[in-house]
Amino acid sequence: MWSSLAMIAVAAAILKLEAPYLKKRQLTKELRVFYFLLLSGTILSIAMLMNVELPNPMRLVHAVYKPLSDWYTSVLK
Amino acid sequence: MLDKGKISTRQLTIIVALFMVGSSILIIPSYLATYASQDAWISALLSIATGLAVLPLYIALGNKYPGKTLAQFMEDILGMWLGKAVSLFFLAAFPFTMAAFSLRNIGDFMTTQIMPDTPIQAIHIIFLIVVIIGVRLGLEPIMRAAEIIFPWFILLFVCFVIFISPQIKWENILPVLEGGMKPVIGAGVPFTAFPFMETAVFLMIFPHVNRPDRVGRALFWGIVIGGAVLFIITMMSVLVMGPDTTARLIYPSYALAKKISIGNFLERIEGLMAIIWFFTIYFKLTLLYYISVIGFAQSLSLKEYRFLTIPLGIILIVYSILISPNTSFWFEMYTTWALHAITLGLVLPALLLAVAAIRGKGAAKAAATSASEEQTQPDT
Amino acid sequence: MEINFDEAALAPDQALEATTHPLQTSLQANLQHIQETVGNSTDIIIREVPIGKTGEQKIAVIYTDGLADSKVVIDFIMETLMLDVKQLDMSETAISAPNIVQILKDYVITVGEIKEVADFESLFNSILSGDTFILLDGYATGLAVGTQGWKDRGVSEPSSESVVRGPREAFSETLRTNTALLRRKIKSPNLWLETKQIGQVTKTNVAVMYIKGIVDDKVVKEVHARLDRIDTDGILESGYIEEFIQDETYTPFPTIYNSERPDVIAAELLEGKVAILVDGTPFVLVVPALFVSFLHSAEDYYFRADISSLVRILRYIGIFIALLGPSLYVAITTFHQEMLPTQLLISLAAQREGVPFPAFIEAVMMEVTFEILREAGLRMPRMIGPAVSIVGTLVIGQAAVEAGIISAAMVIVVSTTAICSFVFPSYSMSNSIRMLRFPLMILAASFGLFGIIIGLIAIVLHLSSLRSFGVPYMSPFAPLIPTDQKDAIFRLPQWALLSRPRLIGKKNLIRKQIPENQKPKSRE
Repeated sequence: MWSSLAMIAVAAAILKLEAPYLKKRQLTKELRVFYFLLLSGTILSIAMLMNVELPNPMRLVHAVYKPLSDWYTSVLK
Repeated sequence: MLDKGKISTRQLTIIVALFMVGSSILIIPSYLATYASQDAWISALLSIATGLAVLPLYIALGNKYPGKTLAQFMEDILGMWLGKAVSLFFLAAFPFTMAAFSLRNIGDFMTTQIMPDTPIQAIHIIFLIVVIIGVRLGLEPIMRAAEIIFPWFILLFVCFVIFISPQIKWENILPVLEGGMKPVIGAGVPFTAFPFMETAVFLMIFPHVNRPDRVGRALFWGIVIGGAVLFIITMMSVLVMGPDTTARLIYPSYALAKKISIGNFLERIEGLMAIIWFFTIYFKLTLLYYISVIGFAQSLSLKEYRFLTIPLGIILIVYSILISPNTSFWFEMYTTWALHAITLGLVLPALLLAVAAIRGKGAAKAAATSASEEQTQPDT
Repeated sequence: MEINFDEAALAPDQALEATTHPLQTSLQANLQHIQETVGNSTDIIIREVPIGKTGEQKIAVIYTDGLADSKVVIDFIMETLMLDVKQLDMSETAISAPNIVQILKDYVITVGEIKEVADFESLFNSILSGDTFILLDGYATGLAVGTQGWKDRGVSEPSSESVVRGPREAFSETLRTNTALLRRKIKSPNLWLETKQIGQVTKTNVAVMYIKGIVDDKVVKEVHARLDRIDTDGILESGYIEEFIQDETYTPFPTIYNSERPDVIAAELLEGKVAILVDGTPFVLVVPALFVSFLHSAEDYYFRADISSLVRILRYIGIFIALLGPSLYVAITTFHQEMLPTQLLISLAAQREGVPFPAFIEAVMMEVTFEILREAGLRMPRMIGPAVSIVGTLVIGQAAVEAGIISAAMVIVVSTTAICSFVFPSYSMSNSIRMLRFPLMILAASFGLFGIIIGLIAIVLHLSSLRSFGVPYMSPFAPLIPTDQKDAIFRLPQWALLSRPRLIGKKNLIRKQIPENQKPKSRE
């Protein structure tokens, strides 16, 4: 609970730090990308802090290459 | 240009060497010994040779689009939308993932060996803060810092080797080629993939080098030096501790450092030796993160990249914790990751080169005009 | 004269503005204006004399008592004006000659420096710099005669940079004395000197000196540009200028070198750097400054090469101890006890038995105490000095250990680091190192050796990103310039120091000497 609030506080601090510079230079695309990334990062970290089961991309990689890898190890034995 | 920094060939060699050693120095001897037991050193040599052999591919690709990074010329080769998509995918799947992996490496190492009571997130956050500082400062300060730290790395490494050499037992590498060449090659291919296929990411750095004709030479020597370090560590591990122990340990280099005992007072200094891989992992991680951030900014055609460093950093920390539920997950993934690395690090560049060649004159002309637009001022 | 504070507060520039208008032809009007502006200050002497055969030309001589050399004023101005000019018939020559001002300037006044001035700002400038001003009735131009001469500290020994072997001259607070000292060292006509006045109220004279042909002209231009940008009321010391023109404000490291020794500044000028002299302080600035400059002392070049190289290496070791001393102690005793040899570990553990505080708190307490002692020592009247140092060493060190507040090892660590931090020839750099100790201690206390390494990497990154007037701060280490290594950590003998630092003396790399003739022939 507290760690999630702390995370939001950190995100707000980051927003305060970086956003004014972008707003001043009117980089709107950059600003949108920034908001999007900050939002995803905050959501992901809060999810992790709450022990939500997030999908691991490496499992996907593992699954994709497994057949090839099995063939490889069998060839070598 | 997002970052106008210029780096010298010497700096490129140093960063490539540090990069190659990177996180591999911690875990590679174990993998090699697992698959090739006492012939691990032959494996290592073969892999280094293979890693060098694919160098011309990268040089050719880089030279086709001078002044442009990988993310930029992907658009030239594959067209705007496909190029951006593939570029983002490549960045997420290769440099960004490797960055998460390296961060996780140092975090795991610290929490299992040196400071078990510290939560791994703290290690990650502290380390990443300094990485972010480096990336925000730009490529030049990172390279200069590497130049300053490199002699210390060499000094510590040489001391390490000297201190451990009294305990070498030469019979540990006998019998040579007991299982024939098959296990040697079998162990070698994943080793070639990780870390040598990762050379592909340096395509993002090529435009910054102030003497483009010498990039090949810099990469060559960087790989040779980095590979030599890994080779020596593997050799030492097998020679001192034997192939079985080496294979069984997760961090054989650290165990090796623990064995140092000179004159009854220079003992248990493994903490000092660990400084070696703090340095190498730091530079590997910083370079990978820099490449990811810059590549991301270039794919989306953004005009600034510094603001990305912190949000992407948060995502990186989450990713690095997510990336493996426990330390042994990577043992399973060793060969699959190697194939993944070969796909993205070898097959993709080769494909890009082929498509670029097919597109022939059109691509070359576009590259020439945009290269002349991209002329940056030489810096002191 | 009544001063209206509100007016002065609201429009401070207006008082100054009034002085920029031109001189009037009526002598009385000018004099009255002068008196009003300086508020009848009693040290501004105004002497009205009639000159000429019949005394028809009225002039006024104005100077500041204390700033102008009275002897020169009396002998060369008053005497010539009152006695010698008496021979001249003003009315006659007034018809044929252009004007009296011209005559005075060209034929009468026998002082070396003389200028025609036509506005009040320059008038006040020259009077308040020690010149004598001559106003003539009926002319809107006056003459400023150079008669500067005030009491100066003179050329004495340097207070902060003493050497065992080498010249013991130091700069003084007068700009002219300092430029003269530099000219004595470098007799080349290529040593150029440009002066400006900086500071709206203090109007401090600032001189820029460099050797044309060796220096990089871009740097000179940049120096001038930055100096011209300064807009403040007062420059009292070169430190003010340093803060205005330095490359980056948020760094603990100095990017501009300073010294009070002419030989050091002369050596820097020979390398192709630019010197900035500020009137009123003996500390002269040098740009561009590199990290290695702060670790070089003048003595390195006066002693033999091998000794100097060893001493330099000692200094580098000193940096590491000064920076990392307490942090390493805290890290090792808290996290990595196994690294110490067993016997040392046992004795340390025994010492720390009765100590109530963790190593980190001990370290911070001792460090802060030492910093307070050091600072207090600077301000202390000389009489009390010895007594307080006894207090410091015995009472605080010894008694604190015996009382069980801190451990003896901590005292040793802190004293060693303190001594090491004074091994730098440059006080500014030792300040930076001292400041950086504290964050490193915090990192060491939280993350042990790992924290220290992270802190070191951050420091190295920061150093690598600094530039001093365009030159990377860490050269010749990074970017690595092999030819400059001959004078970075080691010092090769004089006959081998053939070239200037590559990034600074770009224009003129080879010091003019013939290599083969210099190397001494070895014995057969």
